Amino acid sequence: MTATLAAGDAIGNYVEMIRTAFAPRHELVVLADRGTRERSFLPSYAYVPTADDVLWFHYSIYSENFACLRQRGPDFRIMDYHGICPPELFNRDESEIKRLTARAKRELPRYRDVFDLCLVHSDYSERVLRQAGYERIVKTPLAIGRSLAEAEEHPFLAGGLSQLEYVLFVGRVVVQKDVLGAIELFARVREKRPQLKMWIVGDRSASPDYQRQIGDLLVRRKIERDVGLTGRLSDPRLLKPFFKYARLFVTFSRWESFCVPVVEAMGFGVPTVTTERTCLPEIIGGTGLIVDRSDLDGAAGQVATLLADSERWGDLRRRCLDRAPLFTEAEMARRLLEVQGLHFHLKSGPD
Amino acid sequence: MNADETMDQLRLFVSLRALSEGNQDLEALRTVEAELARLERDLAAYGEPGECVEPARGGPVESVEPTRGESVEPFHLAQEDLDNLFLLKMRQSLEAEGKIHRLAPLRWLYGFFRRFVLNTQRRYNESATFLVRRLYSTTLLTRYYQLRALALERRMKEIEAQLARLESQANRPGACPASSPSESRP
Repeated sequence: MTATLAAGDAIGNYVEMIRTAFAPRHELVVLADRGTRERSFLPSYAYVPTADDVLWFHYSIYSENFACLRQRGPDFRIMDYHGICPPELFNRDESEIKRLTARAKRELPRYRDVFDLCLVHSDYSERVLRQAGYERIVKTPLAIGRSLAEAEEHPFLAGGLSQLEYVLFVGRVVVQKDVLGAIELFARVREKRPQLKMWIVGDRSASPDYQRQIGDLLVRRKIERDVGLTGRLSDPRLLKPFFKYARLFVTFSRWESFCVPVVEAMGFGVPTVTTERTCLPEIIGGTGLIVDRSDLDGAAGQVATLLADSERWGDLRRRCLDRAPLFTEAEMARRLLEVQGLHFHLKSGPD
Repeated sequence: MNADETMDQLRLFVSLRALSEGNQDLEALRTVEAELARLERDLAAYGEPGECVEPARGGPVESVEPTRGESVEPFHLAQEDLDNLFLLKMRQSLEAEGKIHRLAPLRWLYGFFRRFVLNTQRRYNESATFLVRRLYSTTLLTRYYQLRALALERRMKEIEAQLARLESQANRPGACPASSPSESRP
């Protein structure tokens, strides 16, 4: 059960992976309060718990589906803690989502007795849950979707992108992701490497105010022709070449509880440039470059040096490819089946 | 092709994909608009004969007959109008903030009002915005493919003229057999 189900985004892909992991043995019904029309689901209020059910509750923003958490049911309840973005990281024109995250954050301690088990995807999320009073917590990293890894890349995009040297950002274009910071970094690196380009792949429908700020920045830095904004790309055939031919993945996100695009980039051997914020250093685990957000000139120097040093870049690429198997769908399925075992153990009465 | 031209081509490709799939990205609209303007300039310089421009649905059919050097009728929304389409979303932020939440009865009344009045208005605004943007992007795409068809037709005429020239050269008494024309691309 999730608040929003959209095809192609991290949550939509994750639900598909859960379905694949449990499909042979269990029937999976997806419940959501809203979603895109490509995905079929039942409304959350259709859920009637029985003792045979496992409610896999995806906890992020507040939604109508919180109604089923008000009281303990006969079912086994797993909280899949996606994390709650701090409300202060939303722009002033995103008041509704800001209200929903504030409420989810406020209500988090209330449900510690409602869930039998909690699933987190990073140490950072585990700390947040422990502070809120939760105890039975299991960590399972998220995975790179098989659909992306196995997709056949679009030949036209692959042909064009393979000729470019570019850095990549993938994710929603919102304040939380600090896309402005990533563009500022790119503009500074470009002063040292004029052939460098940047692609920003992600949904731009939120916060028109922020989109305007991005447009203004591109004009001010005279890099409109050097930065490509694709909007949301849910088709893996289109997304794959962007990852495959990127030189670096850049994310300055102010808050993340996991950040799937970072491990997707890792799967393609693309090192990440990021900052010391929330869980990002933990996820990249020495396969990228950690820079200081407050010193963009210094960061640009480090990035330009890395791009010029093919040996060091090759070393990071190898480390990415070595680490990526930790985040495969098969590995995630194995961890989820362990959770399933834990469920039966808890249900039959732990010691 | 240099890196800037490659970027432009890729940008146009993803923009056309986005609009065809119904993603209403402002950047995609602007990119396709800019490409339309470029095609219009090229065709006007060539002096394309009368072309019919049919608006997306319902409207009258315009017939444009430019002569060499005249520009074809420009086709775009003013930037201000385009921005307004995207600002509609901002105007939906009708959430009251501050003191109203402190008093329980007012909070309840406000919750009731929000659920049954503001949400209806928001949904109506969302649907209206979606439809207007969809109509506009469909019109842009229709126009783009019309102009592309005209540009290809022009190219075909150039190739035909070149072939005719080569044939006439080959038929001239004493001329050597012509080699195949060295076209860069169709």
